[in-house]
Order: sequence, then C-alpha cells, then structure tokens
Amino acid sequence: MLREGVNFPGHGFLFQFGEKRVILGFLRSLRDFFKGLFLYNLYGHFHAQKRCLENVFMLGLFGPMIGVPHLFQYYSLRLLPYYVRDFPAWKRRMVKERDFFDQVGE
Amino acid sequence: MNSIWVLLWWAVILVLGYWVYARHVAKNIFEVDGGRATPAKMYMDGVDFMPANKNVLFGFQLNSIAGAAPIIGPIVALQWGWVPALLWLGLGVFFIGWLHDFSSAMVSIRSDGDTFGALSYKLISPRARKILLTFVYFYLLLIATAFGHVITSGISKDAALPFPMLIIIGVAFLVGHMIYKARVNILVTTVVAIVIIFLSIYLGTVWKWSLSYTTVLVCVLIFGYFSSILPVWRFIQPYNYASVYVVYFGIIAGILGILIGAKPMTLPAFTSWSIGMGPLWPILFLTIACGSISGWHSLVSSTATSRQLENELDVRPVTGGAMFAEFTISIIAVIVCATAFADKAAYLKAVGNPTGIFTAGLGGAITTLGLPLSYAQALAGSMIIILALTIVNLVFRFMKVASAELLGDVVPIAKNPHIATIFALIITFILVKTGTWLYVWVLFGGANQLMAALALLLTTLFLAQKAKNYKVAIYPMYFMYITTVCGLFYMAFFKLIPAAMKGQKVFGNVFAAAVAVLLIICALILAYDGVKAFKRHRAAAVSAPEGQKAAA
Repeated sequence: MLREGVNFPGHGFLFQFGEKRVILGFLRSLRDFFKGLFLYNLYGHFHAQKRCLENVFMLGLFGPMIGVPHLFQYYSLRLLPYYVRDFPAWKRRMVKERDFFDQVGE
Repeated sequence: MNSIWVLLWWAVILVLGYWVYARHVAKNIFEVDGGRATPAKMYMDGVDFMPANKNVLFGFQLNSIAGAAPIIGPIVALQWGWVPALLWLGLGVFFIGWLHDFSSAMVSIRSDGDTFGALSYKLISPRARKILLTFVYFYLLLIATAFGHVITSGISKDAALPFPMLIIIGVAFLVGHMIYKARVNILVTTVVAIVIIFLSIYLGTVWKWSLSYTTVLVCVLIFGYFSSILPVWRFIQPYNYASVYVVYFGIIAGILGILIGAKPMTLPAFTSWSIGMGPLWPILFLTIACGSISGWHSLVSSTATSRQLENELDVRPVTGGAMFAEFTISIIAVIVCATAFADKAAYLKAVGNPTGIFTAGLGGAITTLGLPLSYAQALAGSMIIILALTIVNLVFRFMKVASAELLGDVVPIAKNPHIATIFALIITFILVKTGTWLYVWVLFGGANQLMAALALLLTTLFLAQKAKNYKVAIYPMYFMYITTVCGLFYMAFFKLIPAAMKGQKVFGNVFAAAVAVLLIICALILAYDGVKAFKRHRAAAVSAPEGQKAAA
C-alpha cells in the first residue's frame, strides 16, 4: 500500500505532506536494522568461508608468484615430459559424456 | 514509585546523551567527516573490509555487544537500591559508555582499521600488546567462570530449562547442516528452527528434568569444548543465529509487558553505602559491568564494526546508538527485578541465582501479554541462559587462541587446540566449583571496566598525538582506571583473602585473588607505559608543523 508510485483511496488527502516518503524510509531502516540484528552475522560468516576457499585456490594457483613457494608446480613441470603424450587421450576421457551403456560395458 | 517513571530517566539520558552530548563530541572533538574515506571503502576486500549500511551495522553491533551482563549486573547491584543502579547506568552511559564505544571505532577507522592489539603496540609500547593479551586471557577466564555459574545455577534450579537447552543445542547442529551442507533456503531453516525452539520451551514446562549443579556444570564445559574445537559453521555460528530470535522476542515481550503492567518498584530505592559485597564506591561500578560501560565493546568496535562503516557520520548512530540500546536493556532488567519481589528479604534470598530473579521478573512482565506464567518464566529463563551460553561459547574459543599466542613459542603444547581448550575448561571448572560467585562477578566487572579504561587510554593517546582536546577521554579514563584498580584491590585484599583465611572456599578465593592481583599488575604496567607514551605524543604534537596537526 505504501510502495512508491502506488496510490490508494484517500492517498491525496492522507499523504499530502510527504509522509509517505518518511514512513517508507523508516520502514526501510527498520528492515535493515532487523537484517543486521538477525542475519548480518550469518552473511559475514558466509563471506569468511568463501574467502578461505578462495585463499586456498589462489595459493595453489599463484602462490609462488607472491613469494609462497610450494612444490606442486615444480613437480608438475618435472613430470610433464612423461605425461604430455597422454594428454589427448586424458582430455578425451575427461570430456566424454558417460551414459548407462558405458557403465553396462564396465 | 511506579516503574513507568524510570522510563522518564531513560528518555532524558537518551535524548541529552545521544542527540546533544554525543553529537557535540563527534562534531567538535573527533571532527567526523562524511567526505573522508573509511577503511571499508579504501580496502573493500569483500569480507573483513566491506562497507555496510548503518542500520544493518546498528543491528549487528547491538547483537555483538548485548549479552547477559547488562541484565545480571543491575540485578546484583539492586542490593544497594535501585537509585544508585539507575544513576550509574544513566550517568555512566552518558559520559563514558557511548564515548568509549564511539572512540574505539573512530580510533580504529583513523588508523586503517587496526585492532586493539595493534593500536596498543603503536600508541603505547611494543610490550603493551603482550601485557594486554595476558590481561585478556584472565579477563576471559573470569567471564567463563561468572557466566558458567549463571548458566549452571539457572539450569540446575529450574527443572523447566534443561530440556529446551538440550533441544536448542540439537537445533544448532541441524541449522548448521541445513544452511552449510544441505543448502536449504534460509527462510525455511529459520522457520523450522524457531518453531522447534519455541515448542521445546513449552515442552520443558511439561517434561521437567532436575539435574545437579555438578552435572550441569560438566555438561556446560563439554559444550564449551565442542564450541572451541568444532568449526564455527558447525555449531557456534548456527547456535547464535537460531537462538537470537528467542532473546529478542523476550526483550520485546518484556518491554511491552512493562508498559502494559506498569507495576510499582517494591525494592528499596537505597539501602546502604556499604553492604555485604562492599562499599558503593567502587564495587557498584564494577558490579554493573555492562549497560553503562563495557570494555568488551571496544574489542567489537575496533575490529568488526570499524572495518564495515562506510561513512564516519555513521559511527555515532552505530556504536553510540548500540550502547544506548544496551543501556535500555539494563533499564528493563532493573525494572523487571525491582518489581518482581514483595520485599528486599525475598530478593536477597534469591540474589545468588540471578537467572531465577530475572526469570521471575521478566516472566511476570510477559504474562501481562496473556502468556501463561510457566511458559513466560521458561522463556525468560531460556533467554538469559542463551545469552550467557553465547558468550561462553566464544570465550573458550578465544582462550584457546590467546594461550597459543601467549605461550606457544615457549610451551609448544599450548598451540595444541585440544590441550589449550581442556586447560581452560579445567581452570574454569575449579574456579566455578570452589570460588564465591558474587566475588567472581565483581572481579569480572573489574576486568571488563579496566579493559574499558585501557581503551579510553588509547583514545586519549590518539587525541593527544593529533593535538586534539583529549580531556573528554582522559577524565573518564582516570575515573574508570582508579575505580577498577581500587575495586580489584578491595576484592582481593578485603574480601577474597580474608574469606580464604577464615576457611571459606580457600582454594577458589585464593585463586581468584591471585587473578585480581595479576590484573592489577598488568594495569599498572600499562599505565606506566601509557604515561610515558602520553608525554611522548604530547611533545611530538606540540613540535609538529601546523599542517600535520590538522591531518588527524
């Protein structure tokens, strides 16, 4: 009833001094207050979890670039010559769709 | 006198404190600037530094700072009469409480979101951080002991509470699983949790369990162990989320009950300048640990909140506003308890079990809304137990981290989370079982208020460094520091040690006295370093060029 742009009977008489904007503003503030009271902690925790996962992901990918050496990339490069011939077959296996009949064959 | 008149005192303090005094200090002393970038806007990493709307932050700040202390402290302080309690609550929050919360956030904002530890390192001395960490560890121990007894005595003396408390713990695991693993819609999860919790409170009044004090204490400590060890998302965080609805329903119901019921204050307005617990000064000022001023708030304001404020103009409504809201909760606690008893004798018989007092008072207020008395009392009891358990959950977790940081280099086993937690649990158990709770509560209040004095010291040093008027912070800091150190000294040497020498709870009282002395020593060292730092900052501010002085 108090949404912006929506009129109702008596609107012109009752809300002629900008009270609608004040009431809407107050209701929005109240909504935000309850969001902060009940939910903000929860959302903060979601973001913290997401941050932890991103930290691990970026560390794995770019660790050596920021001075955190780890050996995954070193071993990847060392083992690459032994595995590079298998890359096409591996890639085919990974992207191939598997259906019921493939599993029956197994 | 009718309790409604107390609300007049509340309104005067709120209007003059928040809209007049706080506005003046924020504008003229701290010179809050809406155009200045806050750390939330400068760094914006999406997690720690994340600008948030001031109304959302106000709710978050209130949720973070409001615990059981603004309720229990005034309940115990009614022994001096409700007039001294109301005066300290009102004048404390007016001159000191809101300023402490506000300035902690402002100092952190103006220092790139630095925490309490980093600020003490920079503003006081390098060793201040270590001293503060030691102080904090024993402060946490006192919190765990004080609230551990509140929870244990509350549950063991009210047979309607064990069942709902157990169910709420189960609901916490369920909510954690639903939100983080099963990815159930948050609204559905919330509704399920609320329905189960409120139903369990009702069933608790039907299926009553009587448990002994020791059994409940052991259960609380086991609960504390899992709170410390399990990942936050598994237990603590969903527990806090699910149970907050009970707490705020209870507060709102209590406010409505008070307004509708309008009962007279039956306890005496003033009893004596000195009672069994001690003289009005300094002990009253330590007994009411929150509601007027609390050092815990500086830890919250200088970490989570300061990094999420999007505008300096939001600091006063968020931090100061939340402090005045906590003052409101304390006023409610005073009213419900001063109207709950037929006379002072009945109150004094119950003062060792503040949960019982609050249950009787708030439960009676809520019945004016039409709820049955047994359910209303169970709701009130659940509310205060939940508030206390929320704090105890976090405290053991923090003690684990603090002991690793303090002792980890010297005693490597302190880094083991299980060993560190079990050690904290054992010393808490010993202090709860063997200590005198009323004295431990005052020690907790003393440590809490002393932490506030240290936060005000940081504010004073910050203002002195920037060549601003620091008198608004230094006089409250003097008052809090002298009051708390004298209070801790009095408790240690005039209550705890004499009680131990008479053979009363010898081990617990001596242990508590030793903790009090240690806190005093930490405070004296910080004061010594603080004075040197103050002289240093003043000298640097006086000799700094004019342009640098203005850039605060």
